[in-house]
Amino acid sequence: MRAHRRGQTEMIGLVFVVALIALGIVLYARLGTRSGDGGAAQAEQAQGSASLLVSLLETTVPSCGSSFERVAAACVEGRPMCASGDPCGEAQAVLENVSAIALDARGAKYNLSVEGTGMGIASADCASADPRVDLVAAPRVPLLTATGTRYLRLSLCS
Amino acid sequence: MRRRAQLQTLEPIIIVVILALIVGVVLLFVVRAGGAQDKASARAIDEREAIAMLRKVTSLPELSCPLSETVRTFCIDGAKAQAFARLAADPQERLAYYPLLGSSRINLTWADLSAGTTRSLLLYDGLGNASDVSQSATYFTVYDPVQDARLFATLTIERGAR
Repeated sequence: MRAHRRGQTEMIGLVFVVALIALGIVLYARLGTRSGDGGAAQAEQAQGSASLLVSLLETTVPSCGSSFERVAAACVEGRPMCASGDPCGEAQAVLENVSAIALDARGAKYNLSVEGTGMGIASADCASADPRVDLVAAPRVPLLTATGTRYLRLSLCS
Repeated sequence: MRRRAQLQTLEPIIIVVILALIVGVVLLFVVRAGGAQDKASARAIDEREAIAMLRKVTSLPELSCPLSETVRTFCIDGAKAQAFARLAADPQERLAYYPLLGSSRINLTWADLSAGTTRSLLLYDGLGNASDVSQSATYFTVYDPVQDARLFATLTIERGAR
C-alpha cells in the first residue's frame, strides 16, 4: 500500500514538473517571438514612415508656393504667409490630404502631428493607455523654426 | 501485485510519451517563431529594395529633376516621367532598361493638392509572367516644372522572383 501511494505521488510530481516545463516553453515562445518579430516590423515601419515625413516636409503647399516645412515654421512662429494669410490652416490641409493618400488608403492607425502645436490629424489614439493599443513605430523629423526645433511625428499603432 | 507490476511497466512508456509531447510542442513553437521571423526579414528586404529602386529610378537622366531640385532628397521630374512611360511602353525600348530595373513593375502615383486629385502612371512594366510577386512602396516627391512645385508621391514596386 505504501509503495502504491509512493508510485502515485511520483506520478503526480512528474505531471506537475511537465506542466511547469510546458508553461515555461509557452511563455518563452510567446514573449520571445513577439520581441523578435516586433523589432523587425517596427524597423520596417519606421523606415517607410520616415520617408513619408521627409517627403511631406518637401511637399509644396499649393496656395503658399512654399514647402510644407516653411509653411509649418511660419505657423509655429505666428507669421502670416500664403494667399489666405493663414499658414496654419494651409499646413493642416496638406497634413489631412497626405494622410488620406498615404495612411487612410492602407487602413493605418496613426497620429500625424507637429509636436507642441495644434497641427495634426489622427485616426487613432496611439498614446492611449489602453493595453490593446500597441505603438508600432513613432519616427520624427525636425522642423527648424526661429523659436526652436519642433518635431513632425508620425505615430503608428495597432 | 500484478497491478503494481503493470504500473511499473507502464511508467517508462508514459514518460516517453510525455517527453515526446513536450518535444513536439517545442518544435511547433520553434517552427512558428522561425516562420514569423522569416516574414519580418522578407518585409525588411522588400523595404530596402524599394529604396534602392527609387535611387536607381531617380538617377536616370530620363527621369531626374533639374539640378536645383536635386540638392534635396529623391526627386522625379513629372513631365519627364510621362515621356518615359510612353517610351517604356514599347517592348523594344523597355529591353534597354531591363538590366537596371529587372523583372519589376513600377507605378508612380502623385497628389496634385491644388487640383485635389491623384494621378497614377505606369513607369515601367518588365514583370511579364513572373511568379511569387512581392510589393513594396516608398514615398518621395515629384517635381512639376509647370507649377514649379514638389508634389507628394508614392513609388510602388512589384518584383518578381529572380
